[in-house]
Amino acid sequence: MSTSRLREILKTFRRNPLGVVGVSILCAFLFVTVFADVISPYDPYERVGKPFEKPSTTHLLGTNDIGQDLLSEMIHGARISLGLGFVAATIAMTIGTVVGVVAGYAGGIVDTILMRMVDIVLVIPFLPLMILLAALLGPSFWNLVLVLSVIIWARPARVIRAQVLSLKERGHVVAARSTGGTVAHILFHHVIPAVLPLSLAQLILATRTTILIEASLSFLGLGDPISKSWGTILYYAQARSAFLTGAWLWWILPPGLLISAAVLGFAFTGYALEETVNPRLRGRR
Amino acid sequence: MSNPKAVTHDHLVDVIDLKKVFETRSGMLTRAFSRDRQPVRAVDGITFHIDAGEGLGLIGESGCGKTTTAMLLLRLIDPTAGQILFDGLDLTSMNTRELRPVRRRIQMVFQDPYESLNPGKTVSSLIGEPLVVHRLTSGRRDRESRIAEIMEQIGLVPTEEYLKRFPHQLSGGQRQRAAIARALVLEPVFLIADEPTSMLDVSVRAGILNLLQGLRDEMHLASLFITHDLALARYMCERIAVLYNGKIVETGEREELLTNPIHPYTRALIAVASSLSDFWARKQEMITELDTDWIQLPEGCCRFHPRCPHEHGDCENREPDLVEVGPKHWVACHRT
Ligand SMILES: Nc1ncnc2c1ncn2[C@@H]1O[C@H](COP(=O)(O)OP(=O)(O)OP(=O)(O)O)[C@@H](O)[C@H]1O
Ligand SMILES: [Mg+2]
Repeated sequence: MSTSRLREILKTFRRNPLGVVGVSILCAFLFVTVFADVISPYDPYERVGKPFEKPSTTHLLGTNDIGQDLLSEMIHGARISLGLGFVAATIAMTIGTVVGVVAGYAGGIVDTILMRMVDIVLVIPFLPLMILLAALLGPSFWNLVLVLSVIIWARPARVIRAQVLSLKERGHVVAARSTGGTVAHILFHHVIPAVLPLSLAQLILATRTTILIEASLSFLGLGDPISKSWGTILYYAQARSAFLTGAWLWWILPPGLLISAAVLGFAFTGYALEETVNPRLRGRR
Repeated sequence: MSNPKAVTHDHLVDVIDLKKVFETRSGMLTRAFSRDRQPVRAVDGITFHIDAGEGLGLIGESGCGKTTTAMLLLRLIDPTAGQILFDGLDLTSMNTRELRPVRRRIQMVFQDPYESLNPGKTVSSLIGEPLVVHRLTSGRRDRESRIAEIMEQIGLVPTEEYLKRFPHQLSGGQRQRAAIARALVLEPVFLIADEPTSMLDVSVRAGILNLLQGLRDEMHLASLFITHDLALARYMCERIAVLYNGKIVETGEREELLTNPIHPYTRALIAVASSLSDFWARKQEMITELDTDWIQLPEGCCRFHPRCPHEHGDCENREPDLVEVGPKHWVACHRT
């Protein structure tokens, strides 16, 4: 992608208030994720207080059932929740882009088969399937990543296929064919660079979904119990009856808010970016 | 000429009874519920040839199938029927891989230079792309000197000024020059130019046309020059074929066709081109105005008859074949 196109995308993007809000949220989370060790007051895996402490000046959000600092858990949880979501979304996006480009450009029977697969993935009620997969594969970081990518790749594949279909008829792609360019040449020089911005938007939107699903699975106890994501924190809070005692205020609400904020941040950014790079979605103009 | 067997290999390009029918692509539901959308017979059995170094002008009004013909010749779309012979090779039976070396020798300049150049690439990579695709240059240095050479030839000078520019930093005329450079850097023997100046400002048209004409002489290029402007065809080509609604209605040497037109459509075109006021005065006897969609004509009648001012019994029942009326002069009209 050329710098001029990039600059143009940035310019349009900045005029989108939703996008600016989204990016600000994501920047805040990025900061927390990168500097988690510096910001968090304690090591989240150390017992640093008595069990079930209420919030105080030493433990701003209290402690959990074995005396670990909850605030530190949540700060480090950002790494796991966002990291896992991002890795899974990246894998899903790569699959989605490849499938979309191949289906859109090849057309015919290849397109039909790939799109049927997409349809199947899209219509499967995914929560039961995921619970089943997660339970079958056992709880671990990479199993969770695998489960998430299997579910997520279909929507981006379809969006990108549509883009490739219209791109294929564009004058400069036809011109490249007339020059005698091989399929690989046309894909790598003309098609893929043009769909990358859209892929990026889809990646960000997919991250939103993976974060949410990871939280749900972990909350249900199907996540990785050793690495503490926000969902895992919620799982332990629920297991220790935090919903019934006053502890929900500092044990359940904060991770819930963090998940919501992250999801909103990714959603705002993703929609704004999608609108910027895909003019057909730009309502007024 | 309309006899497919009469193929001789001294022609560089031989197009025989070429057809393209666009089926309106629709899903099962639409197909089941709407029966009114007919296939479009964009090119309906055209036959012509071009010799090495010769320029053929293909003229006709908008929608008559000119671009479709060009795309068929390059196999950018697949023909419904017919044959395209290029230098004795049957392009219609080739697959994409077999076509690659052929596509090096046939090049096309597209109508719209705003569309045909990738907006994300610089002039140097645009002009270098064909060289890379066909692995014609050894290394970067070699490629760059070849690019500079062709840029000087087509008049994008000083070359350093334009090498790193993107298409949106070029004027329409400069874009079309870059597109021509892309086509000619491969040193083709056959150039198809699809209305290369119709999207350009009038002020730069002459420059582009003269450039093309000069390059044709220099490189001994055969060319198919597509236009809707008779005057342009006359300026650019030795022979002219008149296309009407997917059919060639008349073809002949430039002077013969212009001084002795026989088909009523050709006559009307020439009248318009030579004197507009004269044409308006005599319009009634030249051409009948028509609102209906002329694509929808049934098969087996003269395509032109709804607009033809002359009466003839056969026009509605039989499609006229091209018949030779003079040396190299062929007409498809029942009145001849
Ligand atoms: N991909 C397509 N699908 C369906 N119909 C098509 C397609 N491409 C062209 N047509 C139809 O075929 C006919 C010929 O089109 P073509 O583009 O060859 O005309 P043209 O002579 O180049 O016109 P112009 O001077 O406007 O460029 C038109 O009626 C057009 O609508
Ligand atoms: Mg055209």
